[in-house]
Amino acid sequence: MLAKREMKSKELAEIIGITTANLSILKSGKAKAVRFSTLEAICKALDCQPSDILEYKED
Amino acid sequence: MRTILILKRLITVFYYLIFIGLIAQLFRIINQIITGKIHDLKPKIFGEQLDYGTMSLFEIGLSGVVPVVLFYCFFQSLIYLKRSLKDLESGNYFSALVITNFKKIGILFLVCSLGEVIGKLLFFIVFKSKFHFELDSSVVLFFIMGLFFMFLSEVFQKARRLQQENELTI
Repeated sequence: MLAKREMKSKELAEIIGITTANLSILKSGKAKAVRFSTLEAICKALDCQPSDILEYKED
Repeated sequence: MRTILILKRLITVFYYLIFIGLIAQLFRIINQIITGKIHDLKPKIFGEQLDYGTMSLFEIGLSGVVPVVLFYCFFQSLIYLKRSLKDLESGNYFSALVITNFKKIGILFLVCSLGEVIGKLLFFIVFKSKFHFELDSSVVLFFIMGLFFMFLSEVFQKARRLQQENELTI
């Protein structure tokens, strides 16, 4: 989604107000939970729906 | 945060006082052994005056085993507490060191408590040829403190998990 919007991770992190380290945790799937506010900010910044950035994978 | 500073200072002072006392006692015993006056020692063990002059070396050794083991457990728990206070002082409350040390302290306090009851019982049977069962407040307090430290360790472990989860919630 970031590539589609031609946006860098650092830019997105700045827009949604989290650190690049935390964005990296989100991208790698290591996060335990995502706040609705963060999800909302990401969707707003990338102009997309939660389903566009969330994916379920069986362990 | 002032309480932790006071606690740290108190434990440090207590630790060094015990350490100095231990060294002084060791020098005294070694001196008595070297000068051949070990039989002049009349120590009080479990509140009972022992006369080493009438006891064999084996009996002297045996009478000292339980108090030495109990003292070692107590001193070791003090060392663990002193080490944990460094993390607690810096605000790192739920570190792995604090959790494991609290559990160890709890176990050692339980050993101290049960060891004193059993040691006292055996001491009176072996040296005084009588059955003597005593449950004083220090024994009960050590038992309660031991269980409390073990419980605290479990609580801190749970808190550590929650803290990690919170840190990974973005």
